[in-house]
Amino acid sequence: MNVLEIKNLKILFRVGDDFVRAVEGVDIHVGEGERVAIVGESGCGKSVTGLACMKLHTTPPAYITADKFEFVSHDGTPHDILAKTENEMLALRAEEMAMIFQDPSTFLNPVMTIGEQLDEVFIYHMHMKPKEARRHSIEMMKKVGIPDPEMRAGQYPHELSGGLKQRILIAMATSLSPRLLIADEPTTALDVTIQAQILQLITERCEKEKMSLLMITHDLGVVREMADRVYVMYCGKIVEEGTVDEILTSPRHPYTKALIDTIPGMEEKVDRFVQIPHNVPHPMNKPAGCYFSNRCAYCTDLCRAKQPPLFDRGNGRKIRCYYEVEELWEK
Amino acid sequence: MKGYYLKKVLSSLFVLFIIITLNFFLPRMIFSDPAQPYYAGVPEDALALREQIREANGFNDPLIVQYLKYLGRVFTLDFGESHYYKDSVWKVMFSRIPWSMVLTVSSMLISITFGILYGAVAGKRREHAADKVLLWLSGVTTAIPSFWLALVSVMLFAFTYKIFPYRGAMTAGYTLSMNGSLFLIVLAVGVVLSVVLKLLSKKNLCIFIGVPVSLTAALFASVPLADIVDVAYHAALPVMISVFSGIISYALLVRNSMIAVTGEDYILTARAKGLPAQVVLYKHTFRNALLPLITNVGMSMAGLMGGSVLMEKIFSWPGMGQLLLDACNNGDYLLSQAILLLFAVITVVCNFITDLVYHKFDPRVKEV
Amino acid sequence: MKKVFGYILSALRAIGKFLWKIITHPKGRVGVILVGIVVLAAVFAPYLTPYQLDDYDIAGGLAKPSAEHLLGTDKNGIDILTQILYGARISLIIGVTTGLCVTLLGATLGIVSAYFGKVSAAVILNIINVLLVIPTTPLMMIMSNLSSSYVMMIAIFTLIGWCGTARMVRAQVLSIMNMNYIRAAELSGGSKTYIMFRHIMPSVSHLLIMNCALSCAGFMIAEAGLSFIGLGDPSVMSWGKILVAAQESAFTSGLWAWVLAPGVAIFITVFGFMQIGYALEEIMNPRMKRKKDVKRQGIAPEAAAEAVFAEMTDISEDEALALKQEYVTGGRSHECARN
Repeated sequence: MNVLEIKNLKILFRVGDDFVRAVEGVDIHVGEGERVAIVGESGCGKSVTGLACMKLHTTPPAYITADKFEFVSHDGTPHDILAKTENEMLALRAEEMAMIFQDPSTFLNPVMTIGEQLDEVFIYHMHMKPKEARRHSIEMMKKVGIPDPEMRAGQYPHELSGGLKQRILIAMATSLSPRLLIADEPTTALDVTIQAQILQLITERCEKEKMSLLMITHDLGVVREMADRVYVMYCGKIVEEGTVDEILTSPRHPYTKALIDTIPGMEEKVDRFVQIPHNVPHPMNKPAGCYFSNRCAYCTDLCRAKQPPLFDRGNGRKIRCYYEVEELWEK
Repeated sequence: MKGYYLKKVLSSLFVLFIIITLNFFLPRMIFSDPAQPYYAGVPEDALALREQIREANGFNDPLIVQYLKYLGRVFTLDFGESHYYKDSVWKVMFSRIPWSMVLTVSSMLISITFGILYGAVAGKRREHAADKVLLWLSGVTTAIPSFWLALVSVMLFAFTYKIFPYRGAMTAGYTLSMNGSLFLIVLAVGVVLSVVLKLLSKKNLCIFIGVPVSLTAALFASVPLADIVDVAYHAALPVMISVFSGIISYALLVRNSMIAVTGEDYILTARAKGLPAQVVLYKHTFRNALLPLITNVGMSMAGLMGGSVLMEKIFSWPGMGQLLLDACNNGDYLLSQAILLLFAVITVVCNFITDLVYHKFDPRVKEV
Repeated sequence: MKKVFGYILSALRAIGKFLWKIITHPKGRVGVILVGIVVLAAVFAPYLTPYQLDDYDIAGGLAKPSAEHLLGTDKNGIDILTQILYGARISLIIGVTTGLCVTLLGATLGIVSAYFGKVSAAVILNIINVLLVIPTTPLMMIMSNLSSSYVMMIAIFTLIGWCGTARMVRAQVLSIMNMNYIRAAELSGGSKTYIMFRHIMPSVSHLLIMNCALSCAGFMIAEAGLSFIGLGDPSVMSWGKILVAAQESAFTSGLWAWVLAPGVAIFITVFGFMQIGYALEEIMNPRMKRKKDVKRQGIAPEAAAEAVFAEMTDISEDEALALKQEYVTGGRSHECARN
């Protein structure tokens, strides 16, 4: 059973009298207890998709449409996220779906203590008295491995290290054991040594609370550790979908292959780093035809003429390319 | 933290020292004979008598001795006697301070309250008409001198329509018949009550509401109602004009910082937590958006006792600004020296209080 | 000689380009027109009015506006319009001179404090801290007893007013100095003075021009206020002084034009300078560029969004395969683009 099912999600942002096409028809589904990753370079629309799941965009400037946008809560009732009002969403956020953000230092309110910010979840969702809420907060801080939680609860965010702040955000997101946890690049702003601990913590929390995970990242290493299934996103479209092993060992879209090739190997020493030529196109200025055509090593006139659809290649494998992998490697 | 305040105290003392020095030298630069005000009634050709007065008041000493003597007098808070009012400088000043405060405190309270409300409305909905009106008004009012606005409204409301009086703080004179001891008693009772309430309920709100309420109660108890109404009637027009520009500037400040804070990441976290929109607005957005207001209010607090020279001149209001202006025009420099020093002390103290309050509301500054 | 001429020519061209930019900007145009009117009035004051400032005519005093005296006369029978035209001179002189002096002094001290060593920074910052705490209006009132000439007023304004500009310039210079391109210039061996004039000055100068226009506007209002409380030069006509006389006699005789005209004159001048300042801000800061509103083009944003959504639909797999077939077999070029 799917916890989250999105069909043909499109998101626009109004900038002046023009629109930025952030997400252009994305299908995503997350099964119960499944760990799904969305991979892509910055600006490809992955974070925007994550925020849309929680309905955190405001209209204007954001305009959202989808053929299906269904979330199934703990009690099994399906919710149409797009049809929900802001007030109806309040009950879903934190209780049914929660989010961890990228930079823990800017995502915590600087003038409220850690304790106050954690308490709010219990006070407004469980209708607890402040004292009781604080007891639960400290319990949660213990669960995410914060030493001396009583002292930390009285401190302000700027007094904590980045890793501790991210733990606080995880505690905040998982305190009501939601059904779906969305993690938006949770390790990007952290030191490498802390990253592994945080990923470990997220995995632990997901297993213990039986949460589904939607991991948004640009780091294929994180994907390998954290995901069962992967969506590769480029310029607001999904270009490849498959299980983590398939994607990482036998990529079939030129973009995915290029992405994997850019990872410097530990084993062999290379003369040059592999790069993908050019930059991600500006969202207001995407190329005609296939969006990857201007950077693709295998690009043809056909690619430049018309955007290919997402071909279903069976076994849950989907690729947005006209060519089979054998055809590509021939060139 | 301690080092920060020590530095602050030292620099404040330095500022006061500079003001005192200016106070000493400016009259000696302005007047060819700094003893001029002391000659009251002495004819110009009575040179011997004038010389005697100079000698008696120490104007023949070397400049450095005069300076040290002046410093000594400042430290013993002895500002001498005003030559124009023939009374102690302290007495003259204290007869005027309350009048300045009547105008400034009331207009500041009203401006802040309505400025915050208006700014919050405008900042919450940017496409709303209220926001557009605010932006337009702030563009226009900064180009209009407030004293001209005051002149026009005096002509309109006081002369053409005769709704408000155009001069003075009361119908006759400027001495309130005030029962001083009753005022103190009521005030003390009120303050003690609010402190007790605070200790019982452990809510700071009791102090914040209790003290102003007891102050108002004390005023109403000790001053005849007719006098209060009379003063309010005279203050209405000047207060309305200051409030007009005050509301706009506070509202613009609050609006801009509301918009800045709404775009902050932690507001997204608060919304993702599923907090109701009202809670996000008041507990997260508003609290952060009001931080710049603290500095701003602190700065204008220094002007509370100083009053506004222009407003006081237009309405012949017996306040400090008018007093300083008269002192300058009359060459009454002992008075103007004391007023300038008093203003400087008030500014320094207000800066200090602003810093303390800001630190209480924004924990990040502690590392300065 | 030729080189100097070339420099002057290119400088003139740059200035011309700059003026054109201001004039084509909607706010800038309003500002230039308003300020232009006031400047023309000030320069040609003697030709615009048949009266002088000393045409006493007690019998014709306190006249209502008429064909002879468009804005009426004051107590001594002097034409109000004449007073306003001559008053424009002092307002412009004080405003522009003070604005320039404050900007120059503030910019120099701001750059020095940010760029030349810790000692100069400490000295300048301490002076700024003192000036910020000193109560300015009372000090100005006392200091203007030294001399009532307008030179004195400009000097006092400059001495007290520079610290805002200096702080702004200092902050800007410091933030530019942290940029990578300055580091690159330093690493490639550019001297301090070279970097100062070649890299830092250009990015600060924009800010300064804008700030200068806005402070001109501010000091004009301050000048009117000080003249109103009687601190100006008694021998020169200024708008503040017209209002003092108006307060004494216009109220009781209901001469509205006398009270309104100086205020409108101040408003036009100050508003003009402010519009030029805002226009400069928008011209120089590309992030603040005005964008046309969708609503104004007659399409509701929701409908426009729907149209964009419709454009995003993918073709079906069958269509794509057919298309591919057409390219592979249909003789259309099917070459690899790169390599």
